[in-house]
Amino acid sequence: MKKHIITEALKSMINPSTTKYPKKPFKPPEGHRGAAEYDSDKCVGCGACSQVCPPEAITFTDTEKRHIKLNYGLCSFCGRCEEICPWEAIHLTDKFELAVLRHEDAETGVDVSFLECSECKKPFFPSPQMEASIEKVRDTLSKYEISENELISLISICPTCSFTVDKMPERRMFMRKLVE
Amino acid sequence: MLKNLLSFARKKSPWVMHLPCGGCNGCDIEVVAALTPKYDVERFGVLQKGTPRHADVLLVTGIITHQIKDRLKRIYELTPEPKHVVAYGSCAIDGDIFQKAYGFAGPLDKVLPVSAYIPGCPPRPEALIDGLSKLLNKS
Repeated sequence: MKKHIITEALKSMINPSTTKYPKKPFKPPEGHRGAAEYDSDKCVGCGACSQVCPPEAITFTDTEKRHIKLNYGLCSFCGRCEEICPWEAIHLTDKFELAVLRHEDAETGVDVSFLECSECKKPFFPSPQMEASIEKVRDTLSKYEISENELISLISICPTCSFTVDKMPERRMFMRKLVE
Repeated sequence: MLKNLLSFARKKSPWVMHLPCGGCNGCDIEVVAALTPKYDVERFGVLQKGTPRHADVLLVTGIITHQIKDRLKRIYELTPEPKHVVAYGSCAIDGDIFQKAYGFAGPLDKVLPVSAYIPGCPPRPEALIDGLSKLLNKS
């Protein structure tokens, strides 16, 4: 008599090996690389993720706002964006139920507001990134004998205007100081 | 009345044909894994068929290459109505890392009308179950 077969059969009658997935939610194991998602509070819109993305799934378009788009149809779920993000704003979650019925829905993204140029009032640079950069240099400002507001007024000029405004000499002096 | 009955009956038995087109075969392994006792898609009436003439759903995995493009169209024409095409895996949807390869002949929805997209590289077998249930609840 093949006892072990019968015991195995009885065991699997009580505790079947088939998953109960659609009825019970399934939690992927630790370290599973699921869909990447942005944290809109932390993202500064620097675009580092789009530069390192191997299949170029992350792109951004600049209009009134910077819209960073992650296309799941191109994403290979490698996690390079999570590795490289200096602000820890993108994370691979454990979501795997990504099936959609329309091609346009297979994406996620984040909107980042733009800083307006102080001369021409055109948006030109992500404002959270500017704030974060100033935050980084705040302690060393006294070394260059420049106040915070002065610095902001000097650098919040778009590249096109910076060649026309009369602040040009001041900016140049400041840049020279930085280099020295 | 008859139409409703037919669509109700079809929901219970979506026979699939698995079509590996190109790429790394990672998705193919996951599709086959979904048929094993562990995931057991047969409890939802999903049967794998070897010919498009018996299938309702075409499960396309991998990138669409120039070689497979015309054959894919022929297989689609062989499938009886009502038919659905499911793009399984990122490669079939947009090309993933192969998007600039010389053999890539465009995303699947430029070749065939696609009903559902399942992104992932590769998607889990649970994602296949999820995708099929979303597709069948729509139609």
